[in-house]
Amino acid sequence: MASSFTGRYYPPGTGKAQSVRVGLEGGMLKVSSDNGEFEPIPLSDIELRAGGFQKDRIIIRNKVTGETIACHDKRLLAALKQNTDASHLHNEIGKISKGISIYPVLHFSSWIFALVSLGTAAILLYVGIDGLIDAIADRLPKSFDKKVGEIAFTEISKDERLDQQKKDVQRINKLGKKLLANLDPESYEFEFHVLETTDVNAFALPGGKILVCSELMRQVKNDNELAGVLGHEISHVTRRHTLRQTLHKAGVTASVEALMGNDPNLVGQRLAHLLEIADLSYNRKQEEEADLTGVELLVKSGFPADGLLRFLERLEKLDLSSNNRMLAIFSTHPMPKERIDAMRERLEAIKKAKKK
Amino acid sequence: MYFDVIYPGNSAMLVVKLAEGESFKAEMGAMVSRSQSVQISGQIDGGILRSARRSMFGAEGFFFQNITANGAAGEIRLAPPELGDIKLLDMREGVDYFVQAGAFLAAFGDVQIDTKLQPLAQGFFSGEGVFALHCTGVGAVAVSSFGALAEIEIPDGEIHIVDNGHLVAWSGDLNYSIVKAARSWWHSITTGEGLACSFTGPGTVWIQSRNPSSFFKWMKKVVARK
Ligand SMILES: [Zn+2]
Repeated sequence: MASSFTGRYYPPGTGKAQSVRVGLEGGMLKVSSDNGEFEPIPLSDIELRAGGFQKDRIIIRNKVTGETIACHDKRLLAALKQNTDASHLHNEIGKISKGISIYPVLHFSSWIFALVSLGTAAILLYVGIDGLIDAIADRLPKSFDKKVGEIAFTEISKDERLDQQKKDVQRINKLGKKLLANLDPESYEFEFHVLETTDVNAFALPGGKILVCSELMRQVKNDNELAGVLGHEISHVTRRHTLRQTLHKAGVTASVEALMGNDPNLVGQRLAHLLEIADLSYNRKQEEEADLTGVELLVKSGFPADGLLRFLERLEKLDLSSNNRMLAIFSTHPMPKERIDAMRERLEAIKKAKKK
Repeated sequence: MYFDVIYPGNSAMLVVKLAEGESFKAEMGAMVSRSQSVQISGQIDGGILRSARRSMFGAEGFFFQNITANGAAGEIRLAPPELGDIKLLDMREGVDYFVQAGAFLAAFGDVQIDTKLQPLAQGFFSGEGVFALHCTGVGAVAVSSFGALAEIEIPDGEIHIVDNGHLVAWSGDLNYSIVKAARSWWHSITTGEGLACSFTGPGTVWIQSRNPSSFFKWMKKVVARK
């Protein structure tokens, strides 16, 4: 054999690999193991694709017998190219080579990676990982939030029932409009949706799409409480909390990638996917921020400041064991006790300021 | 070096006999008993750069112990913390495995273990325990399961979906992506549950018959009742 490469041989219909050597000779793929040679495979019988998690390996399938060979060694692609004129194979080889470079950050040569690592490590010493990711989030354009939110929303609406009941949708849009009138018009483009579920919760996607559960709308006593919830969620968007949480979950590499804008669609897609499947509860600081920013928005818009507080206080008094779904809001918007205290304090301060 | 699984089943243990000077890597804190000559030293695998990389990318530092027979031959027994089985994965040239970090017990021979930097959608698992170690080289890797350990072969092109909590190890030729086990986005986002790995063959997946976090939840319920 001219040159041979290390690979794995999977007999037809199995998932158990044997360690083999793979080589090319006279238009045939030759596979051999310690136990001897396999039947040579004519190149006209094979099809190729990229496999493995990082699409970093070549999967060769014998169309006739169904046996499969996997190989890591990129030189096999070059060897295949030389040994065949079949245009479909050339096509596939091209596709696989492209597929292999899907994740550009992973293909930095190692010394560049080392430099970047050291540089990043130095920055980390000063600001910490959280600081770094937050700094990156602050530098991303608003259009990035929008992109991630839109992709996530498309996915979510495939699986979830978005209630089209006019009454609920109208109600929420009317309240939302009133609040948005007092927001910086340069801010995000907001949209309000009602999610058909028995959970009591609400969620803000990056870029301005806000989802409120239908059951939450049953449980609020009046529009003032609902406006309180909306003010809180709007603040999660304007303060980019959901985007930040997604970036934190995604890690430093992805955040850097997002900033460098390699391919906004690809990065956005992956972030949106993460948003869809990861547990992205807000942290305590974000919750308090959203509470307080929300209260300011309520006051500006002529709603009573304590709408959200009243609603959360009532939920918190419920018996935990009786109905978990009523308390779902505390799973993604945590720290009920501390938040309620902080909100009370702020409301007292607002009252005092008014009296003066 | 001799190694074998003893008491296979739900209380499996690993026994390793070392000639003088021989050594291997094991999970921190797995020792049950050892000869006097067998010494254990904690070590972050792969030096400063790699550990910086690890802390940056969320692996929260995966620590190994180096176990060496010093001055005389010796023997050591190892066990994972959970009730379950142990399986030895044979490592040959060109064959590679991903091992769920919590399932790694020991590595023998010339095996490299990399806490491989993973592309985005999978990178967030630090808290979930599906952070995978990438094992390459020649030798063997011992993995442990919670409950029984089963093997699922996935032929070329076929798809098989495994709940994340039941993953132990899988062969590197498998392509995989994270999907929702349950349909509801709402459920996974509020509970963090219901994530699964969708594997495309060819390759083999090893699974455990019990899910540690479901078990823990069940325990909590039982304890709370009293
Ligand atoms: Zn919140």
